Amino acid sequence: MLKYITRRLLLLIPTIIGVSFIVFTLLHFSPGDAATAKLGADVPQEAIEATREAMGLNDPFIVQYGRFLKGFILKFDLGRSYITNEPVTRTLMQLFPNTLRLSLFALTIAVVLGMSFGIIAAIKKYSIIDNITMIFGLVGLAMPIFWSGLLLILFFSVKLKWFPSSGFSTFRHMILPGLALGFQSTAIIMRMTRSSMLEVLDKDYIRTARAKGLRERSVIAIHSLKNAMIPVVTTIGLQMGGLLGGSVLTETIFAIPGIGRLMVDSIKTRDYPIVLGGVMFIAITYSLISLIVDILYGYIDPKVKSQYR
Amino acid sequence: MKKIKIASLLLALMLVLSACGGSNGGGGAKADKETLTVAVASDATGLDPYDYGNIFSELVMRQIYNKLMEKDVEGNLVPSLAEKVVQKDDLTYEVTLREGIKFHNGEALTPQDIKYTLTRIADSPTYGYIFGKIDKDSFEIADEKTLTFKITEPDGSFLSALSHPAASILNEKAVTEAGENYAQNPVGTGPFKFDSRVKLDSITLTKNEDFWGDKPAYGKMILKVIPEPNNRLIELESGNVDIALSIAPNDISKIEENSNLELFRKLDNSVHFVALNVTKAPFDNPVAREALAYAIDMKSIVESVYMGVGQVATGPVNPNFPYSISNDTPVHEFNVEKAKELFKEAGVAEGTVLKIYVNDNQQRKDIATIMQSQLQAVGLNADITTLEWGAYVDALENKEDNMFIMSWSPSVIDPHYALFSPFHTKNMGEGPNYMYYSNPELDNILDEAIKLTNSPQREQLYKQAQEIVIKDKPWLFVSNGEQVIGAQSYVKNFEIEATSSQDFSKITFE
Repeated sequence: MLKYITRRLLLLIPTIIGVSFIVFTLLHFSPGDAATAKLGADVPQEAIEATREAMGLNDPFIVQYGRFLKGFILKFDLGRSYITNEPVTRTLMQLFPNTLRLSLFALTIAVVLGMSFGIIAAIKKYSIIDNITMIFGLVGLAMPIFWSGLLLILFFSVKLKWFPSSGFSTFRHMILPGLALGFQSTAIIMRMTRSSMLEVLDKDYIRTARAKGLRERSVIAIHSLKNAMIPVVTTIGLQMGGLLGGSVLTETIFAIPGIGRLMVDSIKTRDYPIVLGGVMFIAITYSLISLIVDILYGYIDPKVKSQYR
Repeated sequence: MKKIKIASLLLALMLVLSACGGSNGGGGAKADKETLTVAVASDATGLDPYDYGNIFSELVMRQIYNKLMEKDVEGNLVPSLAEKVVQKDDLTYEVTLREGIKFHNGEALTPQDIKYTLTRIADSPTYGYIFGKIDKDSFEIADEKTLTFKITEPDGSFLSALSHPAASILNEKAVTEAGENYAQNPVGTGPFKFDSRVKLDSITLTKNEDFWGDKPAYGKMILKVIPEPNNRLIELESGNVDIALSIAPNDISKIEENSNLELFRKLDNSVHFVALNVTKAPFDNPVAREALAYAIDMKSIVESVYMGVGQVATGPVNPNFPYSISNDTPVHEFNVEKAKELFKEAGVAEGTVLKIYVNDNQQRKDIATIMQSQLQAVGLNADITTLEWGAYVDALENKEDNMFIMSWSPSVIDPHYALFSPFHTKNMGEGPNYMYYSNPELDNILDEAIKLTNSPQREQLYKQAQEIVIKDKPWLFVSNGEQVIGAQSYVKNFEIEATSSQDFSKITFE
């Protein structure tokens, strides 16, 4: 097991370098010029040239990438922002906790609501509750965040004045963005739980369990749920990755200082070091989450565990 | 039974939720009279005048720093840190400093700081085009409050330029000590001190107890970053902020109708324009340019795109600027028949496709779309290309376009800055002269006028220059924008300014 984890962690290194290469290349060849973006349009050409030179933008691609990689590998230094001149790592470390808190909170909402309603819907197949949750699931999937977010703000901030509509200091600030962000994931997890549960409930061993007189509660909680968990856990892992990346819209709508908004702002201003750093941060987190999910499989299903070498 | 259980659970949940929502409705008097909260649209970048490059930084710097000269609300130049600045001859300026001024770090303001600030900004790649003419070796410090320096060529707009945010006066010791981190730890002489900052969230400033002018009536200013215009309005309506900047046109009526809120509007310093590429057919021909001016109904474009915010522009120099003739110039006549006639005369065949380039800006896209339909009425087609800013500028430099849409709003309020970069041959192919416009007659006038200090002669030259541009039509003038700010009605003594930076230091609460 330990050997497996170590191997996976080592595999992370080429993954991260690969990600950095792809993103660096994309940014390098995307149209637009960081010096122009920094100085604005109302500045003479010589000024822009001088700034390009100072920023090292005139060096060949491979030199620029080499410089970046050297700093990153030797000192975990992602360079400095073109615009604010602050170290990228420091900026990201300031904002990443907000994004992480928001995504984890949204995931908690999604897991709790999604799994409970999913289980209920599966047990009460074709009942009114099943139909209602199905409709809720469809609506949840179909509603984009920028719309559901605004609806939440309209209802809970403007009309009822229960929650603030922007900022991110207290727990009260987290509720609306958490709901908005977690809504789609709730729907996805709910539907996945339901279908996976239904499949398991049809299995012979469930019939056996019921036939030998087990209480329905144990049949559901112990025999069915555990066997239905594998696809659900996969979905949850994927959702967490999606939530991290997908927090961009939520962060903008609710004015949350997070990594997603930072990246979008930085794309607009061609602040490549920030964009690159942000993508790598998310890539690393994503890889770690998928590792955790893989380990969790082992605990849920011993058959999988025996394959970890 | 079950249903009752669920219902009561929901009820309990709602009670809990409503209990934790301490409501803070707008209106009435302000509870905390020590704090002013302002909603701004975007975060500041650095706060070092050397290269700040964004209007939100400018807004924050305005509270922290002073300049030698400043503009008052009416746009008149008034001395600030300088008691006076006297122009000795064409090139020499003598600065007399106000006495007893202290920086936020406790250091006294000395002529050495002025020398340091001005020689530093002269080297700035970003603002060198304004301050590059400062002669760095010419500084002479006469006594504790007087110094003289020279510029390398006569510049009638130089005194005005000293009011530019990039010329904010710095403390040499503070800048050198902070080094690379200065932009995040600014030290000035202004009414507010920099306190702290949460990136993308807020900037907090505190009152400068040693401020040399009228001290602010409150102790703390929080600039809260709220990118969505909707949310800025909501925060204002719900009383969470005292002032909200950049109100969207369709939210204006909501503020006007709300008795707890007050709306402030003022024409800003911008000119929005459609620029014509004069290097290729059809707009290399002045007749075709005139035809286009007749074909476009600018009044209806401005009304539908800006929804009553701002006004139709009529000239290259914004009405807020000295010597502007915009207010005396009528909006260009809209006449489809005449346009058709002139296009025919210019040899522009029916069905010709004109390429309009815009960057990713909704209003500009809308203008282009309406122009497209208006051009159809005179038998021409338009092809609209939307590009991201960098790619947009690349395309314009490659002269791919027939027309492009942009705006120009100089930070030095002088006709030189409104006319030189856009129209002088020296700036051909650089922003915003991507029309590749060049007119030797205009060049001569601009070169002459910059040498003169304020005088009837200077006025006459700049008016002549504007007439040439209006006649030549490298630009169709679209609009002059407007600053729109919403505030709680208990906010008193706030005077809106034309610049994007505003002075909040005089505000009191009822």
